Amino acid sequence: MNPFVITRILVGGLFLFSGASKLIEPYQNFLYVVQSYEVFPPFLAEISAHVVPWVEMFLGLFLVLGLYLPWVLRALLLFIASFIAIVGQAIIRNLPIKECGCFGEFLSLPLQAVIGFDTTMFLTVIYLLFKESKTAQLSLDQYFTPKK
Amino acid sequence: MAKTAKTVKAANISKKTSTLLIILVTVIVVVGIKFGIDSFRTGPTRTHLAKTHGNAFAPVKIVEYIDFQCPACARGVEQLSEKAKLYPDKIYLQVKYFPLGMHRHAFISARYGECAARQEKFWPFLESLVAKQAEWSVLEDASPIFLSIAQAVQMDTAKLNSCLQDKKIDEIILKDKNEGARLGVKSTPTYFVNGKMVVGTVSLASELQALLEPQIK
Repeated sequence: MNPFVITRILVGGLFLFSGASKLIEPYQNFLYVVQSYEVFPPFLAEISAHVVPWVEMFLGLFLVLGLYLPWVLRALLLFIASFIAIVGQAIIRNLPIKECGCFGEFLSLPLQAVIGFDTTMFLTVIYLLFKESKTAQLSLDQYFTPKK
Repeated sequence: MAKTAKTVKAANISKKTSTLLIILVTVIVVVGIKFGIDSFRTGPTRTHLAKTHGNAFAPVKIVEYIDFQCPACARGVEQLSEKAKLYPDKIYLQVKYFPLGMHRHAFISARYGECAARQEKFWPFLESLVAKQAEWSVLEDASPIFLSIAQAVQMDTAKLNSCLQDKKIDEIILKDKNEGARLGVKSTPTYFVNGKMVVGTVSLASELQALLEPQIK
């Protein structure tokens, strides 16, 4: 299996797992995370807490399956860029987010580490997009493409 | 050419249908799992009377899962204290422990808290504990400060020392924490306000405003 396919599945799996685990937990936990970044007004924070996990999960799932890859990769770039912007503003404003247990009770994650991770994801997805034809191997997109 | 166009069209329809099916199955699976898990989340059990505050027949009943080293929890304690003064007899508060692994003194401070509860000094101890949180959170060993708070609230230090050796204290704290984890508690402060899960002080403030303001009309 080519490394682009492996990377696609791993990155997709990460988002799929992340989204699904947020959906299975009480949504109030993710709402607390959203509120901690102090970006959205209350009604938008509520909407985000309900919608974002579904988007995250489906982007991950479609990436794993290799479905509508050009759209999914671009959507994922936008998604990750939004995360980076939100975390970046939290760093600039020095918000005490690592104290909330939001990333798990044993993780007091500095926001700089979160941005570092998100940036790595961003660059990885850019590379997958750049090598789209290789990324699209062993995908449902390829399966549904009529053979000449 | 016509055959190719037909083939492409058929493939597109097949892809769209498959996509819709994948979405539908995923939604059903996720909603099903969530429904199944939620059906086991029956709500917090009662806590010991010494860790309750207010009128047990109050219209607003709150169970709080707390980590004493968590800064947001300290703000939550102050917030609830103000609300209790503004709306006397409207709030009934029960406290349960949820020490987070990332906080060095979370478990030991909970042990001191439980020992304070045994001597009916839980609330004055908690008040001083959160007031001095910034001071003791950064220390390697916070026990001297916990002891000085215990002495300041007139706890019997001999009983305290004996209590701190009692393994049942750890069992009580872990029982609270495991219960919280089963209810989906992940971070602190997490509240159950009349059975509804509310996480963090921002959500608590909105929930209390919605519940308490109609009470004074």
